[in-house]
Amino acid sequence: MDKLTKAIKELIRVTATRLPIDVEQVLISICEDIERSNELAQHICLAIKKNIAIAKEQNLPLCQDTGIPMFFIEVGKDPTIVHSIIQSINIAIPALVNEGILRPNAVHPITNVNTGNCMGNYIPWMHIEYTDRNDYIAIVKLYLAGGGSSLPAFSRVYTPAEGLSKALEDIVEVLITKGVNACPPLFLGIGIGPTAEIAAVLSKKALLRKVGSRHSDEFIAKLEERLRSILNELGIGFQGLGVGPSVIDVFIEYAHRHPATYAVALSVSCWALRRGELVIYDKDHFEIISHGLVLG
Amino acid sequence: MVKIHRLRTPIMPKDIESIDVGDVVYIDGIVITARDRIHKLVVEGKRTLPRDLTGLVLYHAGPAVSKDEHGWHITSIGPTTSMRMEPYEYEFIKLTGVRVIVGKGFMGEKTAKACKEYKAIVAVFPGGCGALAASQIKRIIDVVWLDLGVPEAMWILEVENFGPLIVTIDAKGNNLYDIVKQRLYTKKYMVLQKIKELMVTQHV
Repeated sequence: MDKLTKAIKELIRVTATRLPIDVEQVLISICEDIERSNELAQHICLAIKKNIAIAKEQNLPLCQDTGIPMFFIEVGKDPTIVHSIIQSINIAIPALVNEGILRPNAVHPITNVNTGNCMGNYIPWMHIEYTDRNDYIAIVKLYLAGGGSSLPAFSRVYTPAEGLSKALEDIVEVLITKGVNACPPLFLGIGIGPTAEIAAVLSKKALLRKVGSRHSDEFIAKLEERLRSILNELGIGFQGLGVGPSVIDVFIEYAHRHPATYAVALSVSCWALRRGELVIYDKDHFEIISHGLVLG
Repeated sequence: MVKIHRLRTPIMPKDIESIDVGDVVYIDGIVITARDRIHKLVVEGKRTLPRDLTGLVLYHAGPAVSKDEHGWHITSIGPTTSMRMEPYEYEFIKLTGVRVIVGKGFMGEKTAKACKEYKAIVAVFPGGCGALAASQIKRIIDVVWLDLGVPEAMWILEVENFGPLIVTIDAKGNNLYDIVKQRLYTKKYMVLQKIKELMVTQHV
């Protein structure tokens, strides 16, 4: 197996079996907080910590729903790499299904037939962007979109008069009806833009950001902070049992909108936010920076 | 005060009498998985069960698995959302006699009614803890209906110390979801009010 395919395989394996460094850190600190005064929290936090440890030690998926693999590829100094990346992904995914690292999750929408290898029409999803960067060949970001957390999501186009106000009402409604089953506490990605699909993609890209990072636009950053604080008053907590936070972080990504539209989308992740980031610096230098791994 | 209970299958109605909503349970014995497809097929009488499920544990789950010359291995098996099975669960409990239903999130009033009438409880296994659950499986007894795909097949498992299972519906028919729904709707109005105030300050 060539170096690139090995690296892509490792990216997927690591994303499924270990939490990114920033996600693990924030969960540990949340647990330290709530365990002190709550007996139920102690049971839940112990289970979570054991799960993280067992998955890491024995190379097992943290959660059995390894989701639909969504790749976000940023191409830097060598665009010809894209062809090889796609080939590597197409080899890696069925191989990892065989190893039990990925669950077969590709189902025909009419016949209900599961393809058996997590490959299908447009699956795995690949979103490719070309940049003018010279400091890397490409970055391959991966997000595993589980079922439970994909349910409380939407993309809707409002009128400017309805705007963000109406969108936030809809977000609250979705969180209290479907958020409970998405394995809270949750990470929220909110996309704002001119059209439904632009807002939708942005809402997913928002979930690729580091925990605790704020948007470079000061107005958006303020909104992220305020929303995180307000939405935590919903009292959902771990597993909907009212213990601990409801929302761990809120990320907003925006595109400038059309004067006559206000499109807003919501993407949600469970507490086990499984994302990974592989940087291909050059032919012999790969790093999975989300998990602090240098692959040589 | 959270009470901890240990159960072994086959579980009898008297074994679950003293279990209350909010208690924690650990189970040894036989667990079978069944989710969307199997619930529909069994309730509609389209498939016959491979064995008697009386007193056993029903687990809403679909595992990640691998297979080698030694057979199947379950690599991860956390719970799936139980509410999807709500339309079928009353009938499923009535038909099969399962004693403990384990899943994720809450279930509704029809299921609570079945728990009271047929003596069963519903509990949650911490969502996302698939590797932990896999480590509590002693062996895979059998798997049937693989034509439905790996996640939707019925996996028949022997488990040891399966838990922590947090009880959300007890055999008296008490349902934690009633309290949760009330809490959420109260908080909802307060949160919407704060969002209104936020929007005013943002001039949006």
